[in-house]
Amino acid sequence: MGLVARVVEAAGIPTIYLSTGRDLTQQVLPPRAVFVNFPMGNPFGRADDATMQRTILLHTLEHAVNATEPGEMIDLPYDWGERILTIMELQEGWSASPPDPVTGKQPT
Amino acid sequence: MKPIDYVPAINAYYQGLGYPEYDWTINSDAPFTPLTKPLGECRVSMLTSGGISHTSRPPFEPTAKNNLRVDAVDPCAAICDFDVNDAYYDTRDARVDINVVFPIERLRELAAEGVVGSVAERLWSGFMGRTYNRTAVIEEAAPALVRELGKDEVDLMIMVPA
Repeated sequence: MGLVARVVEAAGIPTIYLSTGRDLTQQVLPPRAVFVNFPMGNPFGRADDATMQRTILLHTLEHAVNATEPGEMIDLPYDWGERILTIMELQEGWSASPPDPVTGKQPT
Repeated sequence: MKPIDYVPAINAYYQGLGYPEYDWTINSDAPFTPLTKPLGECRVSMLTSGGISHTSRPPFEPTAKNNLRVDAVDPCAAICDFDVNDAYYDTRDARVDINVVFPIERLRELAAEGVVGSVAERLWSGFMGRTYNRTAVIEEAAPALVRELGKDEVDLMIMVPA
């Protein structure tokens, strides 16, 4: 999605990118990025934690306003509180199930 | 906790499956369009690549590759009216509360409070899965999205990969 951010920005629409993959984002270099050290499935925090979701969204919007250097990334100070597993590690125990042949949806 | 180094982990995983090394895009500079209005006057839209679809649309294919589908999302949609299908991240929390990847409620609240000027007519969900055909993204799909953002007079685009 960093590619998309760069195209949108170059076309004249400012973008702000919220990343959970710091090294991935540093490579593609979107115009403005906020990094939060949370799992990829939880950029805004935990389910039903509206306070944290709002906080992270506010930080994201704040950097959109404050960033001055192209490619500037800031790191949010929050810690997930437990070890973050990648999807590849999770697949060892929990497999990403193929979609149901009738509905096309991934079973829970 | 140190951030995970995803690049070597992903490289190792796919090479272990027999794929050739992914040719990562590495940029040394970035485009930059300054905001021209205060945030409180900005019309804001948001793009998720988390395989999120409204229940009125077909689900995303969870193991998608080079999938250029981009759905428009009604920002007033109820949060229980979404499906999440994406094999590339742990979607369990997103299925309980879509706001963890696509904070549609939080964005509505900030607009109601005047923190942002307004939520755009359409939010967006697309570009999910693995992308190998970068040309199609850069030359077709992303410019197509730009045209729609222009129609909606978007002042700021929030991008949230998953």
